Amino acid sequence: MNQAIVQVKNVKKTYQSGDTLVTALDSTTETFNKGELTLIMGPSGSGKTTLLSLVGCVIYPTSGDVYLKNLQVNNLSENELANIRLNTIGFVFQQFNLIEPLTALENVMQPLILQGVSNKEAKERALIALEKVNLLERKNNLPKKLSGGQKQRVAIARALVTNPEIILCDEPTASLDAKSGATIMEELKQLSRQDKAVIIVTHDLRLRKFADRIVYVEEGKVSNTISNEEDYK
Amino acid sequence: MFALAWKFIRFDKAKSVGIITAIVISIFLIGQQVGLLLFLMGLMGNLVGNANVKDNQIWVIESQTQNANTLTKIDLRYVQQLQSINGVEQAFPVVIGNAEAKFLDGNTAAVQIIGSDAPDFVIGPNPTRIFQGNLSDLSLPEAVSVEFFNAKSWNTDLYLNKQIELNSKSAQVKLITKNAQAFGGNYVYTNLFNARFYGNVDPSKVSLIVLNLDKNSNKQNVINLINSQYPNLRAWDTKALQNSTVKEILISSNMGMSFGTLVVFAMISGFFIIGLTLYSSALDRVKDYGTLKAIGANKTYVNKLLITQALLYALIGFSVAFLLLIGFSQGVKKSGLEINFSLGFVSFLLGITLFISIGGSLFAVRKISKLEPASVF
Repeated sequence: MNQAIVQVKNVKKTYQSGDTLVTALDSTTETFNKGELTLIMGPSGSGKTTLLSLVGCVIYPTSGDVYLKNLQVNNLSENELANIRLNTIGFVFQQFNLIEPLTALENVMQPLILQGVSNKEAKERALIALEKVNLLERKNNLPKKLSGGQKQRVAIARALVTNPEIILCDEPTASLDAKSGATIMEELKQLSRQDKAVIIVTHDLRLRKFADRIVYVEEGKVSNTISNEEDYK
Repeated sequence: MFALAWKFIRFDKAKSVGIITAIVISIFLIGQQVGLLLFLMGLMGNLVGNANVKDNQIWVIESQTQNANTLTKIDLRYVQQLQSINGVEQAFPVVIGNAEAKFLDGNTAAVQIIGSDAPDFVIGPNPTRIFQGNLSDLSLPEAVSVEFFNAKSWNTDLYLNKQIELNSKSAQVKLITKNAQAFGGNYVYTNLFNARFYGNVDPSKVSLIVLNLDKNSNKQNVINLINSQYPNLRAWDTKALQNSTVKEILISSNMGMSFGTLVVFAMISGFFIIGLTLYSSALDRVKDYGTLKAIGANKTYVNKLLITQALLYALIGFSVAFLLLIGFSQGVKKSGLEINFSLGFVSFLLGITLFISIGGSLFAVRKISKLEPASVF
């Protein structure tokens, strides 16, 4: 049985938008496990990115609790959360979010530098990470000189270089063609087999075949079944 | 951190050039104006600055005067009286008179004739400011000095043994000074007798009395004694008289206000131009800062990154501005305007650069500080 690594218990997230209180996520309880690739699916604006942000210790819940490795994290300070993100979680963003002024190699080195790893060791580890995603020959390229697929590979290398236990991906295939998207999903699937929790937010129903488990989020509510596939197109 | 900040600076070349240009312009303007003001302040106090001032020396002038450039004559008999005070080693009378200098080519100039007894020449000129000739030659009849940098404004050649007229009396240039200019006037040094002769000064009057004190006497005690016993006189520490002179001129001419306003406006405009350009640059890179936060950089790290960029901009801008200032000072040196890059002046400019750069970066720091890591999802 896979071990639980992140748990959200009765979490609710609301935003104030003018005079209106918007409920992005309503009383949700969910568990994410190591060694599992979980898809969080839902149409645009359903609350799936909010759930991912809560799991990723990026935002605080309005109510309810978030546990990461049995540590209640919703009471921690911003700096403590930043430290958890740095050491436990790897992020892959929809728009890749590579730091524009840095080369591919420097982008991958950055989390290690933030961890206080020496420049020399960070470089060695970043080169290994880039080699794993077959991008060693583009290590000195700035992000603007890389294709979408190459950017996403660099982003994955950056997410993995610190060997995090949790990998969070926000629409990782949205900016890629079908072939590149499938390759990325295969690689993420492989990672989940290395005892990591891979959690992917997507509204692309074609990715369901890669999932060990699917969590559907619709209008801020979580369920295990899909209500209407048309909403995902 | 410096390497990362440098990469951010290099990536955004257009804005970086804009920020550095703003720093260079502000610091060059401030340096130019402050350097010029310091030079003029030096000229204002140059009666003291040109003199052969010793540590244990007191200058005695008429009691109401605060400005060494506008001395009222005092009675010659005070020289003997002050000489007799306990602790005074020697008293030197000094005469300052006005004259019109006339040159062989017909050009004229208003001058101040300053004379003290040979061989001490307590009122100057100081040997460090002698360009040509010997100080002892000023003891000769008709011998006077002229200032090297006055040649341009007087539109005449100045050389040793040149014949000139002072108040229609024949005189001869026996000494040429350099950087012994006066503020709004021209100093001509000579001996006491010549100064009375050319300046038409009453033989029973002197302009000031310089007292050299005994080694063991207390300067402040002698000053207090003279100020209490001679109501028509006031004894000054030389540095205090120099400072008082500069202060009087700055206040009466509004020069301090004028230069100060310019410097403050250059600072304010630099602060806002740099601040807003840095802010705009940070907004361009907001996604990068947000990503850094999302992947685990804390607030302090991101703030440090912004401030380090501001520090690098300051150092580059300061270096360029300083080189331009050195070029400017070399250009104006030939006309006698000497900007002195003292440690204090350079430190002041560096401090201002850091203030406007790092202070300006706080707009960007404030903005990025509030940036949520969730904004990049």
